[in-house]
Amino acid sequence: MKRVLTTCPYCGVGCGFYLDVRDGRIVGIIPSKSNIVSKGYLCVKGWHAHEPVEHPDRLKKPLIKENGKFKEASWGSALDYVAGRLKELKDKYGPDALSVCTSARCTNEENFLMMKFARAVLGTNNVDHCARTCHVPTVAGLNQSFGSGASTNSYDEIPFMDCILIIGSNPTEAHPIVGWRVRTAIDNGTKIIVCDPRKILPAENASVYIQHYPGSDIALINAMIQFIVSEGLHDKEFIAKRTEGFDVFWEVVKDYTPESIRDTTGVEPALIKQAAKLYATSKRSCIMYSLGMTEHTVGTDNVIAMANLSMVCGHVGKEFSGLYPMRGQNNVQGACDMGALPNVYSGYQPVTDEDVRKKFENAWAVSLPTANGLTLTDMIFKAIEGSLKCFYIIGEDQLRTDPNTHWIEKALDSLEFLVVQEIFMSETAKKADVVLPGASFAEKDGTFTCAERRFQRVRKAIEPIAGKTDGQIICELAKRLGYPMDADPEQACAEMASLTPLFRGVSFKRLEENGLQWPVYSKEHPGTPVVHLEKFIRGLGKFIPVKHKPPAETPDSEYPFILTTGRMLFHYNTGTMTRRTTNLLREHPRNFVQINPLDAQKLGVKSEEKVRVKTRRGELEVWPEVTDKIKAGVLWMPFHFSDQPTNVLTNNAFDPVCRIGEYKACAARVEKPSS
Amino acid sequence: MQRFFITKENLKVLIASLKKDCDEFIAPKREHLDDLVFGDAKNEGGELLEYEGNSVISPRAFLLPQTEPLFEIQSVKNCGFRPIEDKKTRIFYGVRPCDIKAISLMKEFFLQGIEDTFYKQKLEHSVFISLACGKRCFAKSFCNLMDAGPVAKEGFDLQLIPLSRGYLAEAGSKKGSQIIQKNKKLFSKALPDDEKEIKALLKNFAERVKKIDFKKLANIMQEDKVSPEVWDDIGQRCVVCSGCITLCPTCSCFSIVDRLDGDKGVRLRYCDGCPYAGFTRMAGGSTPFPLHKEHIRRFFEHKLNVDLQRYGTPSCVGCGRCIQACPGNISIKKFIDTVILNG
Repeated sequence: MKRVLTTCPYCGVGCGFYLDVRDGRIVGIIPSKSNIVSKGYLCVKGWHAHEPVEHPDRLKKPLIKENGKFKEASWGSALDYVAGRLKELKDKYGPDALSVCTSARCTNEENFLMMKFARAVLGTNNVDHCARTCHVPTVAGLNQSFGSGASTNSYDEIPFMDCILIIGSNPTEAHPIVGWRVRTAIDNGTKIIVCDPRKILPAENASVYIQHYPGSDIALINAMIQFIVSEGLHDKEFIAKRTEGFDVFWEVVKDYTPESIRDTTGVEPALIKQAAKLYATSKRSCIMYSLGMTEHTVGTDNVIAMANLSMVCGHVGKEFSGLYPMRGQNNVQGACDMGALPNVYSGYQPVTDEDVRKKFENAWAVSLPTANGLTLTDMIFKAIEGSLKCFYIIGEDQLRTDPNTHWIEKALDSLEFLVVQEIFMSETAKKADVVLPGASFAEKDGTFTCAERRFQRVRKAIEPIAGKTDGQIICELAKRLGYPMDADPEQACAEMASLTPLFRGVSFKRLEENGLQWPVYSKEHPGTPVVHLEKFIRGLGKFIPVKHKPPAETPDSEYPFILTTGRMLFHYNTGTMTRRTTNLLREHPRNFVQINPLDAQKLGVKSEEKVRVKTRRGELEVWPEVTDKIKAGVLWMPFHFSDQPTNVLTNNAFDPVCRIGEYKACAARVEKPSS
Repeated sequence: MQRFFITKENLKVLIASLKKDCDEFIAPKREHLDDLVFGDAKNEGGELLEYEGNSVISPRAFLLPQTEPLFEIQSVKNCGFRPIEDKKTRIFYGVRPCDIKAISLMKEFFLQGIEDTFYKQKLEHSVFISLACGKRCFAKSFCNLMDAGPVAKEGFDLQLIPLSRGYLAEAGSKKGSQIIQKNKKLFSKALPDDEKEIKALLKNFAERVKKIDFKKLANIMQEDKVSPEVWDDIGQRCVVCSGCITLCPTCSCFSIVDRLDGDKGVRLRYCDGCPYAGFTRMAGGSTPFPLHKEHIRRFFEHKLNVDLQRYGTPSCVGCGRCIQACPGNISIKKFIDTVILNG
């Protein structure tokens, strides 16, 4: 019997709990009141996080496909085979025909080893992960504006804000324990502004609720800025002392009057003015955002627009202010931090910087590739084109998570060799040549980094069900490819810290108590709850003018609705875990589409009859949920249901800078199945 | 009931001897920083003889775990199964009076009428040693208002009440008497001063406290006279985390599921309850209580109204765990106060 303190494997909040282990079986979850992030609170997913771990569907043996059918193999023969094929393909086509997709579900140490594997062993910078489909615009956008692409402040400031602007984020459902802090803020009298096409729970208690169209965020934010500045509510001192580029920026923004964007946003100017005034004049104001802002062809610009708004009002670079990008996955912050990206090593050190590269070359005793690698998005393009031959995917289900399923399917079918490392047989894994059974969070030691930049320990409760952790699998392959690597998590963490100025002071020992918030520049550095105090990481905060651009696909007479997608409370991403948790599955067993009563009436849609949702890429028959919580003209669907996959509908149009897909807005129509 | 006295030193000796008599000695332990959790101290050590506050999760987790295998399914085709038995003897030490009351109520539920053999088996092999509270464990607990603390009235095998010079000990059952009998060298007679000290402790708890009129509360709820705004507010707060029903020491609801791997597998029971819409959804899809607020109402009605009629006492024991875990900041105590005040 033991209780193993660890970090929740679901969203990016990073709650702490004990796994209650009896007779080698995990029987329950005990929340940790002492955990600084969750303080004894958990959401419904956290309370059930143990259930999928020992589910009988877990993959237990490596599988090799022969004549279209999987056959069980021993670890030895499967690893020999994978290593052999990787070497063969590398020799034949060169290292850049290979690519690695690491996992935001895995630990920091594993991600570090995976990116090292791609770069030092395979010899390619073609390494990326699912941040490409969630918060890469945050990394790209905030990096340009502030010099650091992560949350500026900490969770514990939230209940004490005077004003919280929540835009494109549903904390109650997607980040429930940050949602608890928002709830506490409301109870403390904090004024809430919600901007969302859906009337989410915090909107019920909001001072201002703006129901704008998906894809009109820049227009909305620029209009707020225009109003703030023209009313003289901006922080002139802050702009003068701490920022640059305001004048050029103002030239672009000054035309965005709330009146001029009424049709674009579908919002009354008075509401925009009210929100702008509230945000600007509150002493402690922050912005909380999430994928509603990032998953657009203008994702990076959306993030920059919010950075501009915060700088105009001086609501950044101090306590009780800033931007809270709510990260989607348990360790998507960490996977970015560890350099599982095609252009940077750990700690955002550019691969194209010669000094940085030399440092890594010396430490790893190999020569490293010099050019940026391919993003996940471009890997798909290159696979279809034929120049990418091999994809090694760890803990991600592209066929269900990436936009336009049919297109992804084509890419996976074009590959010569696909390896998938997974804990359950996902749709992507079914396409693989080899499936290697991975380990869940409960079977390994390491660290996750949550959305407030906090490294926290993950601790092993039971032995890996299939025998190896993901880190061990990678290291065994590396050894077979002639480059021994050490899978020991503490060792990997130490190596990472020694090579990364931003995380130099991180060690397992220092994380024991309550983790550490990066930057942690030295062994003595206490961590950084608030970033950009007194000075932005890049020096001066940079105003970058951004203009409204409509989504790649806008409604027309053929496809008159805007379809937008999102996460719901009871499920998590592709649902491989939550659909294997009895209470969660029962609460929401199937896909559905939210439609406004006005639209439903026009189309004759009734709750008890299925409808067909159709876009230019695909169609799905689902049950409608007729609700006035969704704006008229907009449809909303969750993406958790593998058997009714919403991403057959979404658009594979991408942000030109960071290559994120436009999940949040595409044109769609609703039909009755009989028609 | 005869009361005895035991010194702190002798209590250590007693515990060492009790550990030999059981398979698991379940006692409060300090885990990370200030987290108090019950765990096995026989094999791991680390028990706290005295502690402030209460454990994060109640000892209920040992009698009705969040997920519990009931039997092994050897073959679906051939209807082969093998029962999974838990015959471990357990001594629970340091259980707070609120949790003792809860165990008594749960016993009624699981053993009256249709007996739950899995629960019964564990209960029969358990001994409960209660440790009364010297002070309120935290600002949100209200055991003293719910007839559940700071000293247990019944339901324990042995109760220890902390005194300045040691502990007052009383047996509450045959099992408890046997412990005292077997270790009688460790106990002495309680002195009149000890009794005085306890009276002062109880008085201290009772001060500045207005007793709750349970009947009045239940009547208001039964007659549906709770103001609709109260329920509306609760409906907007609950985010269906299920923390309340998982932590509540008197929540007894469960469901079952078969976890099959081909022809073989295991039947599990798992915690279930009020907050879920799916808890009472019919096969055809209709739900008798579709609204969110009605689900938490179900929880409150059960604790404060239905069980008062059934057992003559509310089954909220005032431990405050649900309040401390609620991401919607719902408080059953605030609910009680509001209803009584407006009733």
